[in-house]
Amino acid sequence: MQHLAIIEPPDATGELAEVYARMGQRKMPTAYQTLHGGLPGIVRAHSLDPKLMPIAFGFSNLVNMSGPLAWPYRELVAATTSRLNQCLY
Amino acid sequence: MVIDPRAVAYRHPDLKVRAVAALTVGVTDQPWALTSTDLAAWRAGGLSDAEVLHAILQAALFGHFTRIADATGVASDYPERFGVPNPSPGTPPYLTPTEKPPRGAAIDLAMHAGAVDQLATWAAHAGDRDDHFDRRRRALIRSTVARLLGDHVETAAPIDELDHALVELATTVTLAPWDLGAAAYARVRAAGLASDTAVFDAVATISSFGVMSRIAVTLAALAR
Repeated sequence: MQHLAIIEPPDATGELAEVYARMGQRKMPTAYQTLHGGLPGIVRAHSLDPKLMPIAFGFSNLVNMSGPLAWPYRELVAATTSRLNQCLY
Repeated sequence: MVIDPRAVAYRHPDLKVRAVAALTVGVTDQPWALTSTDLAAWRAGGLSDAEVLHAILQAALFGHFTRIADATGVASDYPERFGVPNPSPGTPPYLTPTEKPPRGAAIDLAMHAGAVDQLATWAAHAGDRDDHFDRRRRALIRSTVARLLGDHVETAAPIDELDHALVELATTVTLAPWDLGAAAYARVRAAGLASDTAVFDAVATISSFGVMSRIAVTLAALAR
């Protein structure tokens, strides 16, 4: 159930529209590409703060696109965190 | 999907998998309770210090993402045939520290190129502005989250009703993010943060300072 508004890409204007356009072009691990082809929900969940979105996902690029820990272990970290925090996402 | 992370951490036959799971449970659950004995076990499981730091950063980042997903209630990107994990209603909050680990760092954050600068940019966005609520309230949030996670940040005390509401929300976001939703936002809304944008800023500011404190506390705790 949705608790806070999410401004979807077709409804975005101004700074958010520009940030969404940039987010759509960012490189992403294949496993994170959505089946619906749109931006992942966790990106859109940041829509109410278009300045935070590139900061959080810039850090995400830093830890997802480089670094010594191999991919399967990163996925284990992500899935474990999600489960512990009772996150359905 | 990981059904039982603690079972992976304690019993998985692959020692490196066990180390990564144990690290993630530690960072997510009680970072203030970690010690150099944990770090030694992860090293013995096959993790280099650079890998340990990478996993800590990843776990802290996903701590933010899961909180934002819980806070907004965003729908999953995947069809239900992939399965939806069962939430456990009534899960108690994470425990708060009995003592703060001494200042220090078992591994230098600078070992992960770019991390120091990017985290500084993120912290500035969370703390250095006055829209929706001012810098004093942002410092109060930072201090509250730090206290809940065992980090060393100058203490600040709540003054008015919005301060108290923000401290309460910070406690839920940090220790029981699965409880986020309309009921958890009612008090900050009544105290002045009426719009979804303002509530989101409060939650995201809390979660952002959680990333900073979680990393700092983990690195400090592993040094003792």
